[in-house]
Amino acid sequence: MRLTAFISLVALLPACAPHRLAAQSAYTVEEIKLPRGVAPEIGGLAFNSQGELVVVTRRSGILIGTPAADPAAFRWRVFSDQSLHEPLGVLVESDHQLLVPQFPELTRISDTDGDGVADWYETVGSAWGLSGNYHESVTGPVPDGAGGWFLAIGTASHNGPTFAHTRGEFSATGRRGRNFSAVPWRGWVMQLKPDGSLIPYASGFRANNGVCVGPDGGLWVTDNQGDYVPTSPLHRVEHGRFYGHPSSLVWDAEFMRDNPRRDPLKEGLERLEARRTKPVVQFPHGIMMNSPAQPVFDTTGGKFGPFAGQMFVPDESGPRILRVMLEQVGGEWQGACTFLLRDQALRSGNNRLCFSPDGKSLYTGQTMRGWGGPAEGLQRITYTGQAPFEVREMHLTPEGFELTFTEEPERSAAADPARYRVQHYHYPYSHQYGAPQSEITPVKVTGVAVRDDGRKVHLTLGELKAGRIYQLDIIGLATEAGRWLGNPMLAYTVNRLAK
Amino acid sequence: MKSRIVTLLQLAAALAGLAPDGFTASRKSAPRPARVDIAVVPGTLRYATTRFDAAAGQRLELTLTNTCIMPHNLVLTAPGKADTVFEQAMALPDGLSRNYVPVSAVVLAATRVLNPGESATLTLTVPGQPGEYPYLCTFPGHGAVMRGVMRVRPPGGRLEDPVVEAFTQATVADALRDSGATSFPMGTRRRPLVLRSFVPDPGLGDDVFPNHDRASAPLVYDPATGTDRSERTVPPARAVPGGVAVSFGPEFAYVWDTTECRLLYAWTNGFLNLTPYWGAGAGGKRAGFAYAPLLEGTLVFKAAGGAPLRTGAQPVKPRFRGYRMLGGNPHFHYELGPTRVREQIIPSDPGTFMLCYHLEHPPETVRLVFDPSLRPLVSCDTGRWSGDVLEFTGRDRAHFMLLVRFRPGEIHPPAARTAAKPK
Repeated sequence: MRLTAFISLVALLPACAPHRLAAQSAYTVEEIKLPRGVAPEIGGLAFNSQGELVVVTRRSGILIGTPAADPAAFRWRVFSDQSLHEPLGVLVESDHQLLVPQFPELTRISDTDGDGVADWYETVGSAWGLSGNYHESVTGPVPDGAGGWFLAIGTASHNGPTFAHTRGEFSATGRRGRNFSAVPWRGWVMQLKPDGSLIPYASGFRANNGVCVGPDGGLWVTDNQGDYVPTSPLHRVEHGRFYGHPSSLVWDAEFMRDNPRRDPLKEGLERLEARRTKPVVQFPHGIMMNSPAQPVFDTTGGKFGPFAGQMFVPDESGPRILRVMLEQVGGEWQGACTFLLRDQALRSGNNRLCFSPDGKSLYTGQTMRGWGGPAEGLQRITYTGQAPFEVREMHLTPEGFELTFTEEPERSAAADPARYRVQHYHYPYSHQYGAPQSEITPVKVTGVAVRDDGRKVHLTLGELKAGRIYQLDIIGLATEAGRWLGNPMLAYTVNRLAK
Repeated sequence: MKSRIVTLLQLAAALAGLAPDGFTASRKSAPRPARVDIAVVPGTLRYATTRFDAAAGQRLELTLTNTCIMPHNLVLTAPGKADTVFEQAMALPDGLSRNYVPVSAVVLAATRVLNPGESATLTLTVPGQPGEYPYLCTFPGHGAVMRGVMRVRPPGGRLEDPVVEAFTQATVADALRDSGATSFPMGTRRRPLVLRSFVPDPGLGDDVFPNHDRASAPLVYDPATGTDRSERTVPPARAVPGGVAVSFGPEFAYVWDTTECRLLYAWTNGFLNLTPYWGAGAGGKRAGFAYAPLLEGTLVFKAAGGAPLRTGAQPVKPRFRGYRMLGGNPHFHYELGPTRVREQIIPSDPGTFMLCYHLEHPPETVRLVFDPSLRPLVSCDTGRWSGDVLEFTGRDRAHFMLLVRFRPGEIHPPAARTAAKPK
């Protein structure tokens, strides 16, 4: 029987469940229970030098746990039984001292008398505005390399009020807008010096619920789809830059200098577009990522699987953790995202990630209560040692993309252009709340070359454009032994073409 | 030959397809249609069923259940026409309103776009011409890969089992519901509970908040039209952003403000109802706009006028430095210029509480300037009164304690404690 091209496409689709399970058995997911009475709404996670897990909950205090192989056998002790004001992070300074950001301040929480319980709650910094709006998150801190820290100060939401009395100057201009910046520094990343002074570092954020410093010292922040944010982005934050959401500009001295009544909302889309720095990676909304939280780099040197050096980003709105493959092309940061884990017994609400000291486990702290339906808890993801079959790297080339697999795919399939479906699209920047995928355009794969070692595949595309997200769907690729590709969908944000 | 995983449902569908009833329909009762159920592998662009067989001419009920996180549809097309329909769907000018289904002679049947969790059933007569009829999802971005095929067999021909990919769709339960967490926290006298949050404003005067700014409700701006609308933003809510609430149990609780660095109010017979902010039961929804916690109990003290402690002729903007826990009690640290203050509030003999002050680097004279309404409530073993002003000099100015009598005020009865409704 003659097969049409479509039928051969169907025949390529994986039909065998046991092989799919093999692709998914690289990681196990376990539930870690917190003591009764504790709301398991995880704001911060970190390990101290004793190998204990520090768990900062949003309203039930700070617990410190001794991990065990049996997830039900963790031993917990209470470091603080105080109900803090939305603590959304933690930086361990010592076994007796934590830095914890709350809505109103960055607090150094210390056990100074050695009884194991915190007794000194020191205000390290608080010079930003606090209007009473439920959406005004403060996340971080991450070290700035100069004895201070970076903090991400989120905007307020029109789904809540401000209070009649605000801490910090109230700007009626900044109050307007769907997400708004009515009091100082909302929508900014700020640099907090050890003496408590606050330096404006970068602006243009909406719901910047996740900061991390990479191995090269770069500062990374995610933001959430919303007004002026067409799809959720990953930004590399640099001093003095503006990242797109206009409300924060009301606190920019340079922007406001000549006209104290200048309104960023009336600036006009063209001027805002010219001013903004585009995201490094744009996460396809609804397809891969709905609400990114705190990124983390895999610094385990291979203990957590074959993705050493890459970035993981948790999704607060779904049972997903993404993997991001970053690179610089012509000096510009960009790269591809795919799934590290989706479903597979993972809860939604993924907010904070933290590797165990031995590198084999990744803890994920979950919370969404008050921002969406509750998805609260703590899980531990552990590498089983069985390497998954995945695209480990995706690089942009002058002709298309170079894929590097974790192991050799079956040779004839890997060389078949019909296995690689490519399309590009973009998310237009505007005042609107999010944007649909626009101008979805199929792209012809004009050539496939498998390199001698069998693990690299070069795709030649009919068209390559900057300013587009290229989605690659790999169909029915397996290893010689019959293990299917675990995550066949990848999306590469092309900011700059490769020469 | 690759083995296939068959769900019970698919097996039943295949068996129904094998039944002879579909081919020898009696005039008395219509033959039961064959049933095919197609799900979506969550988080992917794949139908769980990528191939099923149907007998030419039979009645078929095809149900698409969207078990995925994204919207999907299912469009059944004539043989070889999947790419054509894919392109036609992409070209639709207002695709969403048409469910991305083109009006086309080669579209045989189509569902609307289904949101996650929704189902739709197509009832159709299987075409009489045997062959391979593709189906695909025409939602933007999906059609290139999200496809399957209906193989139409001649009547009486063998119908093979459908090709189905198994998946787990178990949603991991939220761990908050059974956590035993409460939205009615409470401390004890021996171990007071310190809670930092947005706190209620039980009717404090504006002159209590000189170091705050005043919010307003400006006109809403419409960026789509570039003009101001005629309506205003939501009016500011009466609550306090930077409070520390301390509960000693039912006998006493207070709120201290970290921007004004002063005691705002105290009450007995309860603490705070946090269900507006944290949700009912163990936790859940925030109460829309009115999410400030609710005070429960009887007010016994409300601040009035400016903060009493003065280190000079004019009030100085305080700088909050944090608090130290001693004996379970918070001691608030703040600075008034060069003067460092430690302040503590503790319940005392029935009907009173104590305000204790320690000062480092105080000026020559330290004053407490009380609002006339509060003066009668305050007594002190040291210092010298002059009208509503209590003055300390010498060694007394570094450490003094005030005894404050309760003045019973508004009663805020506790809300009914209902557990969160089970889902």
